[in-house]
Amino acid sequence: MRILVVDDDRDIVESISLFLSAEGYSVLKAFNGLEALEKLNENTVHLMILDIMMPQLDGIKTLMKLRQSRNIPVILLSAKSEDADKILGLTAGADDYVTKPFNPSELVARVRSQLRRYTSLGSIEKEKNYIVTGGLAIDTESKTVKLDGEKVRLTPIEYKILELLAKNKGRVLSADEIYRKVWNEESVVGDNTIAVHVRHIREKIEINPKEPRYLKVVWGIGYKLD
Amino acid sequence: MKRLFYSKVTKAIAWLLLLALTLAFVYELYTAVNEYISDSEYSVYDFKKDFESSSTVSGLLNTPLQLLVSAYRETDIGSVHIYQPTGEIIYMESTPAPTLTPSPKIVTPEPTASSQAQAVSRPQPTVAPISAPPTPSPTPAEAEAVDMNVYEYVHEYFSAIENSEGLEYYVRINDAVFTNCDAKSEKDLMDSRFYYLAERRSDGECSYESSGYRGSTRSLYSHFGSDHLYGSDSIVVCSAIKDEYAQQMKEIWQGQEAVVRRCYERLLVLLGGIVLLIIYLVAAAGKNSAGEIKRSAMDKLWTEIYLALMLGGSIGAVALCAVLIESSLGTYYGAIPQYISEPLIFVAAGLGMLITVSSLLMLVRKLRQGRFLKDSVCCIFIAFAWRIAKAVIFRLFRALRTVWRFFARTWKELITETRSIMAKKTGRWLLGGLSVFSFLLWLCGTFTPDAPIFLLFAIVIFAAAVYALIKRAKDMDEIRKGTKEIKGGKLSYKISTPYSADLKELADDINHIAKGLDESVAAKLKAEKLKTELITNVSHDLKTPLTSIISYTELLSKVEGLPEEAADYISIIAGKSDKLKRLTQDLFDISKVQSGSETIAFERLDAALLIEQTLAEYEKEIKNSGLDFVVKLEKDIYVNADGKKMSRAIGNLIGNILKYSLSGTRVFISLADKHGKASMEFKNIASYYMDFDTDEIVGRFVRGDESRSTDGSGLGLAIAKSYVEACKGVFELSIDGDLFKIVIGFDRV
Repeated sequence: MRILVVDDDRDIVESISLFLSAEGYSVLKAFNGLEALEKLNENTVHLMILDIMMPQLDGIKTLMKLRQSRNIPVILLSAKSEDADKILGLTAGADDYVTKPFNPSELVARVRSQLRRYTSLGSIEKEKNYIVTGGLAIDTESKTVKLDGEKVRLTPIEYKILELLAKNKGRVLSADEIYRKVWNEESVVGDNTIAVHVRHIREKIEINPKEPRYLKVVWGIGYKLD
Repeated sequence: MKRLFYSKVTKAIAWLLLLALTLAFVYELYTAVNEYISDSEYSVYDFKKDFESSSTVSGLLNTPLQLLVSAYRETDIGSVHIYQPTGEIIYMESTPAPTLTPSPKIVTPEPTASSQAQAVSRPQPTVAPISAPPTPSPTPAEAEAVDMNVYEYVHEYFSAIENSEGLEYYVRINDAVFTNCDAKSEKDLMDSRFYYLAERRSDGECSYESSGYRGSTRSLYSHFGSDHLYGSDSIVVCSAIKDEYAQQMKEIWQGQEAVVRRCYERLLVLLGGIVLLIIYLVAAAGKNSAGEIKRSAMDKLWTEIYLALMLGGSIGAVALCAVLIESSLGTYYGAIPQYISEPLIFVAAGLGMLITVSSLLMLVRKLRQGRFLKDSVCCIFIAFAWRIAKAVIFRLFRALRTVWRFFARTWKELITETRSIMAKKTGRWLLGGLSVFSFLLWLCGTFTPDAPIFLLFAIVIFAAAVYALIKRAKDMDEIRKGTKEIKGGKLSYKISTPYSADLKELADDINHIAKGLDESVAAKLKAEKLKTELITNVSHDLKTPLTSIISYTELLSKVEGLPEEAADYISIIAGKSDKLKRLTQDLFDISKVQSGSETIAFERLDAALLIEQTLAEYEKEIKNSGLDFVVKLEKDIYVNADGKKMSRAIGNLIGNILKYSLSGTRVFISLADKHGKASMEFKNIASYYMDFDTDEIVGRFVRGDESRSTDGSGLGLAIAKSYVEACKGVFELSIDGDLFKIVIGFDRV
């Protein structure tokens, strides 16, 4: 697997490549957008880690150029932590967004996740009774969940909640609604069971539970799966 | 040409010419007066007429009657001058000549019947002419003597013209006749070309008749005077000029007229020359040959001096010349002999002209230089006086203004005071009372004969009272509204100036406060924004190196074979860089929200769910904390807020509780409706002595423990408060002993 790391800060590029090399990936380095595009044309690249703020050609523009011809996973890297910035990056075609300063292990985990999903994508899609969201695949028949092709261990309640959310993908479900449908009862006041369960699910399926990729908390309203 | 016009030579020539002309003029005048005019009996006025209407004729014709009247008047007049046509003057003493011989020409009048009646007062003339001169005596014969004197006087007077060359007269008093010709009666003289007849009847009736003379009858001025002189005498006076004599006189008269006319013509020409020269000199005055205006020492003298010299010189010279001419002609009895006075005339005239014209020229120079008024001592004085007067007037005006202001201020204060009184409770009672009073007045009005006056009075008072009350109510409304607006945050609101004085003061004060607040808020916002921008930039710039630090620390931690201490150091670096990372993010967040650049997405939130979800995030930490969390959440409480921000705020509070609570104590978290509001309470027992101000603790980088050894950025509470407030909630912090309590209030929706 070959990963292209692009950042104008050479030290950051160096450290990232060290981490990735340690994981067994071959790494290409580029220090601006134009160089990145050149490297992409010259080599076969499976994933790109791209900084947004760069001289000459910034990350977003490089990404948009890339997306005209290639479909490889791209993880954006930026000091901009605003929601608006994240949305912009994801809309431009990024698969993930990591804010600086990042935890190297987390970045490596995300790279791994993206690559796994990228390579195993085709096989999962064919299965009928699978609900697929990004790298998350829920088999409603065997009641199992796979994250980037790896099986995730969930309790029956957790699975039910996740399945319910997956079936209503993109829709916000209130705690009461989940309660009613999972437990078939009315919710109890002062009981934060669902919140705790969701938290547990997140810990199991998310690389960083505080910045969930799939299962999102809509504060004060409910939960949803994107 | 211009050069020539202004040149000194030309001016000098003009001066010489002027003096020469002046002297010539005076000479001509003197000569004329001497040679012709004074010698001639005719006034200048006469030459405007013909001989027939000249005073020569009238004067000659007048003489007999004049003499007669004079004779009658002899008691009143000391002397009499009679001018003869020949120019000689007859001067007569009033005292009659002591020796009087009866003239052969005196015809003794016959007593007539008509005069008989007057016999008492009129004596027989037969006695009179030969009687002795009168001596005043109280005898009855006195009247007779007086009457006798009339004839004597007449005879005496007329003796002067008895031998006149051309004048004939016939005078008859009662029956006495005096004549110098053969005329038997007045009719004989009336054949002449020029004659004058005056008649007085005994009853006092007078009549006059003339022929030949064509002048105004007034010139034939001689007539009988007052009645008492003549008594009942009947008088006829007739005078005539012999025709040959008249012809002769006319020729002489015409000859002299021609001479005088020529004389006048010459004088006129000379005068014209003088005037022209003066005009030239005036035109050329004050400019040098180059046509420039120059100022000399002479110009510095006062204007008045030149004015005086000009007037004095001209009038004095004229007067002096007139006197001298008269003197040298001998008509004036001066002490100056003719050989002195004659040259003096020229000296006076020349000097007079010199002084007058040069003064005039100096004045013209002053005008040219624009200094006519400036050099005038009068003007200087007037200007000075005016300055003084102005100062006085100004002071007076100021004094008056002060007085006026005093009254105006007093009046204003009076009004203000009145309004203030009106504004107070007593004032309102007064107004109310007035209203009632006016109503009573109106009642009175309807039952008394003075109804209209009372009614009017009542209406006026009532209207005034109602007006004042309405105004006041409006003012109060406006102030109430304004205060509410300002309280609501619209600091730019300005309460319109009320009518009542005291409320006006209040409104002004409120406006002032609002303005000050507005300004300070704006200034603060600006400063805040600048700070935020700075922090944002710094935050961004911090993140990049921090990324490297974290990454390489992690790499370092994976290196094997390092000494034990090194591993410890690495873990410290890792911990601190992690803390730095959080700090940077927190700093960035609070800067954003406090500067107002954070966008708040309001949504209808289930407050209980919000707290539950947040608690779930800290599930593990709570379990491990050794604290007993007592959570009581009321259902169905919804608030309008930004869920993400609120979860962060609540999360920070929980984090705070976890950090600073005394181990083994209970933590109370509750959600309830309090007075219609959603109220979230977070209570815990502090693990340390909370010796700080409640305001301080929510400030940036403030932490309860002074050592700052614990985790956290110190921004937790500040961020929580800021987020709550950004969501329009109320964040209250209170400390009661060891009890640390935070209450977040929201409007329910």
